Amino acid sequence: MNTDNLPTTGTEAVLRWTKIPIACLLLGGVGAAIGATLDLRQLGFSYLLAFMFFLSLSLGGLFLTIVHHLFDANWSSPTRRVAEHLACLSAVMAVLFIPIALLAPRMYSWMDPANASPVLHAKSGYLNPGFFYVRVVFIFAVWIGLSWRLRYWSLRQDQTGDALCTRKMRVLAGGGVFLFAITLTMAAIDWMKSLQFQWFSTMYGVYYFAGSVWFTLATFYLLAAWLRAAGPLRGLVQNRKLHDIAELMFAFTVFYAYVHFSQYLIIWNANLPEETFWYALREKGQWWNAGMVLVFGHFLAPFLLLLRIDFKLKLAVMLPLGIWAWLMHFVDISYNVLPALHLEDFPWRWTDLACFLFIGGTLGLVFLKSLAAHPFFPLKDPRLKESLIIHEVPPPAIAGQAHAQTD
Amino acid sequence: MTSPAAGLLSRIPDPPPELERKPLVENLRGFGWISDRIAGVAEGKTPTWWWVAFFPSVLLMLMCFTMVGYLVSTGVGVWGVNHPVGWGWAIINFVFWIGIGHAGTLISAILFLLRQRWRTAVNRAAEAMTIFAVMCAGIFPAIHVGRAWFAWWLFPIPNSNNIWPQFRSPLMWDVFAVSTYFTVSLLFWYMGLIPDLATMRDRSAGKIKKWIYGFFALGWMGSNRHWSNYEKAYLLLAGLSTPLVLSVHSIVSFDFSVSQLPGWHTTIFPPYFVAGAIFSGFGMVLTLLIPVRTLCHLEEVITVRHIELMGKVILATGSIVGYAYATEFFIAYYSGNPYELFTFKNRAFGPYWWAYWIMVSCNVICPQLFWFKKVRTNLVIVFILSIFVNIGMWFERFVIVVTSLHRDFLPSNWGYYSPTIVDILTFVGTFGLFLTLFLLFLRFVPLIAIAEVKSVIPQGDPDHPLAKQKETAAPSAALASGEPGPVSNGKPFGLLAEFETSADIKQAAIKVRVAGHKTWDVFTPFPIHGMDDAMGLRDSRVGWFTFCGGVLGFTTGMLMIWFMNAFDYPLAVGGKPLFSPVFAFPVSYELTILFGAFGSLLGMFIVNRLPRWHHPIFNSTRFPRVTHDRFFILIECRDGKYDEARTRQLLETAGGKNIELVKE
Repeated sequence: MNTDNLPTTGTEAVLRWTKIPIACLLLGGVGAAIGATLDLRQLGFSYLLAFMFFLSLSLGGLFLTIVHHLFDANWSSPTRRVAEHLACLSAVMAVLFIPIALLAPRMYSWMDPANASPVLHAKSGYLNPGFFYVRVVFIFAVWIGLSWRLRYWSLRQDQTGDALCTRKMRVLAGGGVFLFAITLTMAAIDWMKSLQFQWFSTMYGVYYFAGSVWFTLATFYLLAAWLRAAGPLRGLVQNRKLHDIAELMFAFTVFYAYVHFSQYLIIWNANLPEETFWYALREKGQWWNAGMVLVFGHFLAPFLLLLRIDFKLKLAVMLPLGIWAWLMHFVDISYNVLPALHLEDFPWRWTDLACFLFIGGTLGLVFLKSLAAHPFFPLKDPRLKESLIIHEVPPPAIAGQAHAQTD
Repeated sequence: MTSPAAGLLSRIPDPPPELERKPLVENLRGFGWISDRIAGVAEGKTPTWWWVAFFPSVLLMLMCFTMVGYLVSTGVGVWGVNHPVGWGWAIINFVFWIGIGHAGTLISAILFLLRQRWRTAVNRAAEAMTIFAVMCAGIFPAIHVGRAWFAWWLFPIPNSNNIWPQFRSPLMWDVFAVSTYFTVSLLFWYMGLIPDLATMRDRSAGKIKKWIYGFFALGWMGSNRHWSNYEKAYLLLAGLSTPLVLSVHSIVSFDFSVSQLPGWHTTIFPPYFVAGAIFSGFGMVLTLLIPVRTLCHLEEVITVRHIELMGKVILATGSIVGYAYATEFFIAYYSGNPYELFTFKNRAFGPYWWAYWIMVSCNVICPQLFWFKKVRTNLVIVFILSIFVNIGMWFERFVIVVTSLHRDFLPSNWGYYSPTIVDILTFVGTFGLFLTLFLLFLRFVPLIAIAEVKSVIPQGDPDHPLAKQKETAAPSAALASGEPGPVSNGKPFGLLAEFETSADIKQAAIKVRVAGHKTWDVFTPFPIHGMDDAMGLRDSRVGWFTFCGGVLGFTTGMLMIWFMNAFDYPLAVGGKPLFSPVFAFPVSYELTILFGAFGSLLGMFIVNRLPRWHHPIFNSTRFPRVTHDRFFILIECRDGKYDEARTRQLLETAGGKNIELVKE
């Protein structure tokens, strides 16, 4: 490979940070192990919470990659490799799923053979342990297959620059978007919604998708800004690109609110007991506050901030907002997962933090390693050149150039 | 360029030839050609095909009005609606037409935000289609209320018993959503038309025509100071229209989904309806534009690439609709609710099985053919498929409305719904209304956004290598006549210089700015990117008008609903609280958008000081070409650095031609 193309400063700048995820991984691992000896059911929920939280990143990365190819986009070319690495975390997620697979009978009340609920009987064709594990295998097979194949062709294009690679990726993206929609919906239903198996909502898959992509975009912005500042993507991630990511995040802020509000309004207005109980439980005690945090923190605050064009480029705004998005998505997933465990008092336990650190550390480490192991951007992407051409000459350059001519 | 990207750029390979993008306007046509070709459709002798299409359309339209008159004078008994199917064709047609109306605003707003530049060739016609489709849709709820003379009860005014409308009903939300949609679509359409109406004004030879186009063009002269605010307002309107498009069909879906009826009550309805609406709208756009592009000889502007891209949108939205069908069916089973499951089994295998399978095959299976490039580029097949899409989407609404109603909870209430001839003729008649309006649009207004198409060709980008290519075609008679205008002996107003290419004008603007002039302006046929920076303009202030309008709208909505339903005449309905932000939200949201849109447009007018029908610059005989293919710079006499000889020299060195002193 022509090393001339690679900004050489990048690798060290990235690998320098690996100590942090290692520390998180160890600390969280020890915490989770202690938690396991105390209360396995609690640990299961803490772990599921962290798992569904970080799964969003992998799925969001896969979505951004697929969408790039489907739209034949150019703006996302320089950052596409980052999305591909996020998507490829699906393989790690598969390994990290093992504890959930083991603890599932303690968490999902429908797995209890003594459960004689007539509602459960009606849906036992789908909700039975055997089929559940079959679906787990199918879901991960799809995610891993898609994300790794997409990255394989992308890396291959770095060397050959062949149009064939683009064609392959487009075909993968075209078929993949169907599989993506089906598997994401299944995962959201199986792993989160079925915690309260009596409840149902056709919007649920879309709901998890909207929150996941929103959270991924916030993270993606921070990653792009960091990789630009640290060197690997300097000159590639222009302001325009960051602005585009922030705009997309703005769109998903609204889309998430739209999806969640629609779900709430339809259930609220029809007032059918088999549906409203899900929200009724969440309008009591601390969960009411969590709901309000979602309304104002997940939607309103980011909405008002991102309305401003100039804020989308101010790191002083976007960095806190990105961290805030992590917190909000965590509240959102908690709002879905934890009420199945306990309703009354403060929502979080210390094991939640331990599992968060453990999974986050593991993924962070793998992500940094894979980032450093490959070129930081798709070197021979056919849209890369188009993406980098600057049409608008910045004002100082105009003034300088014009002065030079008049002198 | 000093950024590190410049070094990188040279090392990045060009795309392989087979992956290069196809041009948006074929054969490297220039600005003048675009004006002539597009405006030409609305000029000259009316072609025969137009009359052939127009007469049957008018007849159909008259039939629609006759049927409506018959219905209103006789009563809804002339329709097939009865027990248990109380919502029949009227509601189906309403949702169908509203859905058709979604492509226009999608193309103009969402694709604009996504920077899909191919939209420029199709947005104008699609927006017009939106407006006409919403008009067709609006007929049905008004006549469906039975006593059409009481339709005013839907407005937020107290009725004869001093009771306000109650806002917990999604039908009230519909009133606000649809009327907001119509108003904002109209504003958006008109705003996009302003520069093109100026083109029509400058091209028309007849006095009356010139006066009418001139009146509606509001004195548009292509000033870059105006373009700057105009583009900002356009962006803001696009930003407002995007959530509006989503909300309108979402609210239409609430008509069904907030009820308790199996088959209607399902949470995925809002996004599913929106996807379906866009799907059907694009179907209709293709159905209309494929013949129009041939009949009006616009193959080089509405290219096969455009058709292909629209095919892809149909594929995407059709697949989303397929996802929703599947999810609905699965959750009907997963819910464990026997009524839900019965409804869906009944849809697929009950008495209306044929409607269900027409729907599935037209909406989900047919569009999958668009995976193949051969299909997407074969216009005959695309045209046929687009008609299947229209049929399929009508049947979707039929399935939702009729199959959910014809089986009640009590089997003794079951029935079978069939339309009457009045139902059918009314619906067919609305196509007459739609086509009549569309044909009139083709004859009087440029059917493609001329200024926008000019901005997406390579010559329109001042940094593109082709931007220096000069126009060779001669302008049309009205523009080239060069007759002296009304002789003016007023005092001098400013020096006007003419330029031939977008690259020239940008360089000249930089020179004028650097020379320290303040009261001057650039005039162009379309907004040139980077010109604001070249001129040193600051960011437009239109956004503040929009924001204030939006806040005012939201507050108005919430206060209005609280006042009407909780304060002035407390009305308890359906065990719901007298006031809750949950049910007040949809209407307040619509008002946010409505007021925000008014704010954007008015803000643009205020900041630009438009309308201004008389401006000294119109005294120049060469200036009308600014809406055709030429670029101008005007330095006003009242500018601090103005000195006739030196300013003239500056404009000459900047490459200006035909420099003239404009008088007031």
